[in-house]
Amino acid sequence: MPRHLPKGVPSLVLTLLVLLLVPLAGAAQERVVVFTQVTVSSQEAGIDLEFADGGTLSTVFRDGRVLVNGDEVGAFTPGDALERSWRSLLGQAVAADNSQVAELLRNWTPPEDLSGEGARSAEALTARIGATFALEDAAAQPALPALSPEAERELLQAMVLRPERLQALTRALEDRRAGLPIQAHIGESVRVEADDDVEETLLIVDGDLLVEGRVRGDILLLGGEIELGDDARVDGDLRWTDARIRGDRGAVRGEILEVTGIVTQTEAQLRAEIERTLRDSLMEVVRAEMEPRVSVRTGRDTSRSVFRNVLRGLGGLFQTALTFLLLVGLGLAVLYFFPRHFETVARTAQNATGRSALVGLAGIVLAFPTWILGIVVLAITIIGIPVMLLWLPVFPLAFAMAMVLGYLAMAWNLGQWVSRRQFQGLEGFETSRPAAQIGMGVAVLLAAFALAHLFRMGGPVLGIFHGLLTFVGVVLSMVAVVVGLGAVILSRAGRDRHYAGGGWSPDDDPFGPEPDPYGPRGTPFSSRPPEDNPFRSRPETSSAEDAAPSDASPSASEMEWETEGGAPEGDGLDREDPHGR
Amino acid sequence: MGVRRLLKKERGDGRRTRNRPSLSRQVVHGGVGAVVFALVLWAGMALPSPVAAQTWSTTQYERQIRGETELRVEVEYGMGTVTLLPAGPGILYRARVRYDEEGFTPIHDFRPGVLRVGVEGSSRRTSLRRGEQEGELTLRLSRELPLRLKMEFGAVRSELDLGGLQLQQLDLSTGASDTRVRVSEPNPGELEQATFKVGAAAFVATDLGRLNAREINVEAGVGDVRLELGGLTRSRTRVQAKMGLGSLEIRVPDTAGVRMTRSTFLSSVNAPGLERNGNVYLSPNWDRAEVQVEIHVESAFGSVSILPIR
Repeated sequence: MPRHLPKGVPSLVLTLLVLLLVPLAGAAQERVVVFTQVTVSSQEAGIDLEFADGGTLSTVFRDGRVLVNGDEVGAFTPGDALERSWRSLLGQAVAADNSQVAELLRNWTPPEDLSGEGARSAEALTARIGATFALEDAAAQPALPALSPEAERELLQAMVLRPERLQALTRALEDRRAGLPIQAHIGESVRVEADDDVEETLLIVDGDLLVEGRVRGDILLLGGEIELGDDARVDGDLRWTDARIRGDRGAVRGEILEVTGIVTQTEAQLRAEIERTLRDSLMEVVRAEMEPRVSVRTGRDTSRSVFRNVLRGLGGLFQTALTFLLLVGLGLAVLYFFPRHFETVARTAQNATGRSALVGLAGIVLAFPTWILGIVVLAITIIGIPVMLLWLPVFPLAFAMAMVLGYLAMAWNLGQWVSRRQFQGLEGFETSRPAAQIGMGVAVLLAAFALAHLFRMGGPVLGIFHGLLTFVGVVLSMVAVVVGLGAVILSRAGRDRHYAGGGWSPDDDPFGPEPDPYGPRGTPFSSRPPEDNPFRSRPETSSAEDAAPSDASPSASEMEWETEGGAPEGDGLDREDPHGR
Repeated sequence: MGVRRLLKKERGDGRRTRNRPSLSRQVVHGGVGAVVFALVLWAGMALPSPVAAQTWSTTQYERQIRGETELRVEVEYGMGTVTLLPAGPGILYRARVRYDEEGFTPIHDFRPGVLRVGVEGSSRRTSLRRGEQEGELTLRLSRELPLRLKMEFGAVRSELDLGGLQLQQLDLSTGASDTRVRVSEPNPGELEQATFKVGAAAFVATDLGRLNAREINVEAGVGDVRLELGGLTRSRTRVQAKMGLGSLEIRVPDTAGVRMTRSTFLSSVNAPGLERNGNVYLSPNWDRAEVQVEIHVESAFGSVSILPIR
């Protein structure tokens, strides 16, 4: 030992060397972990390990308790710093591969600012984890250094005399291939003969190395020269500083890295950095996903729950408003492009409600079998197969459109009813316009949903109203869909006015006069000449509901029906103007 | 009494009708029978409905090879996305499950030589509501030892890469699924029989020849099934396909000899390049081809196509 060294430096250097070599033992430890299980959920967050010697380590945060191998070693409050730190660790572990999980667990340090119960729990937890790994370390200790006392002393001298080498040695040992012992040569030349097979890592300090044979580990060269012969083979990395390399570098299967005081961003380092960044990002995502649920589940953070209820309610209101806008927009589009068809559907729903409901119900029940039957029939023939390809999407689409059209027609009818009731507060609105009526109708149909979301903001206390109103809204919508769909089917998507009632006088028609494809306006179908009447043969039966006698005076069109002689009182076809104009 | 009464207005003097029944009474009267059906049908459609919160759990299992000589794997997955891949060196299996703990429970059971993994529905709820996310299972299996693989999927979208796995047995059963199977690398061993039972689903399997299977059985209910036998090296491979309703397409390397027999009901057969003799279709190179594929098709409704891979 040189005399000029300050007292205590050798021990410092020895400590440093030990610290450098301990991770190697840790790396050896990773290999004996044969099974890992990482669980991250709102209720628990834990890591389970199984070691090759049959030992296990189960560490889990659950229900406010910290458990190690089933023993309660501490407690935590959901969302506190200790749990956040633990979940952060698991966020990394769940994205790591098996070999990294144990190392993450070993290296985990709880937050420093813990106090009280949290600090005691953290201390107990880390002590149990440390004790588990200490056992493994002791078992792995024999595999540690292959440095003889003599080599250790020489290495110590070399490092102390040239302290800059310490840094290089540190870097050379970073991420070194784990597991192989080190064969150190200080100040001597080493030769690996052609038939030599060195199973260790070679550490050469201030010496030359000639490789003719095979080295299975890494070569760490700090000062000196290495020559790679023609038959040389190095399975690991060649890490060097202040040295010269001669011969074929292709003999090195691993990486050739210069380790200097300046950090070299090798490809591996960049990759590791990217992986670390990605892992951290994922960890943040996992944490963000899990943390709010913890507070809600435990109910300890009531302010968050209230906030969440309000947010959910507002979200529901927003969703309902969007649905309203979408439906009204669709309604206006239909009104603009197909006004007569739309009105025919609406009037059919008005005038033959019971029939529409039955037909709508039948339509819903039979839709799927019809679709399948169509597929089967079309699939039988080669010619039919292309048509089937069309049939597959078109039929469901058309069916959905029919339901939406029917729903909108019912909304229109409802809007007309609201308009006629002249509710207070609506005086300033032009409610007689079809567009406004559609808007009002849709609003009425969706009102229960909106109220339900309002009640939702009140939390669990008002939850029953939320459920009831949602149910009412669904029922109303169901009825509108079923009756509306039936009206669409009965009116052939608004092309057949048979069930829409007569009396299409220009005064009643909100769209003004238009050529009627079925004949002169106001002329009932049955009053046309028999040869021109496509519905002549249709039986004019009606449901019992529709047969109820009208309490209104017969209109002009009703008189026409009666003079025709084919329409007795209560024939099911309401000739009054439902729009009340 | 229907909606028309509700909406009716007296004409002439403009007087309004009195004693109108309530809105709800009239509306419900008209559609009472429809509600039950409509509730079910409409629930998944355009009306707003509250979506229950999902609570996600992620669990990862990884086990190293410790002297196992073979592994039997049973995968059960009801609903979500499944990905199967080969594992890295030294790893026996690695499974990562992401599931909604409100309705599902992970399955993980390992005994020496036997692994059971997946997700099962809990008693509370087993179906997705509108707007809900679906779970995921990513499973990696070792290529370093023989495998007997059995998979049962429900409503699942799956991507299965069987490349390089030493498959000795393969059984895949799916419900309403969208399944894609590929064999990116040849099976180092020999597979006696690969069985695919497909419900109402789309099923696409590519490079099935690399499975090195003596026999490939496919039973499909409703849907589209495409089998590509790329990578064939065996001198003789048998393919049995049973189809209920839908289209079945089998693609065979154009250098392989093909012999197809069929037992069909109302199905069209499209087999360009094959010579037909009754219910037997034969490729001209059948006798001299080094690689032969025998196909037997049973189909009720639909179309069957035998096409070459060029």
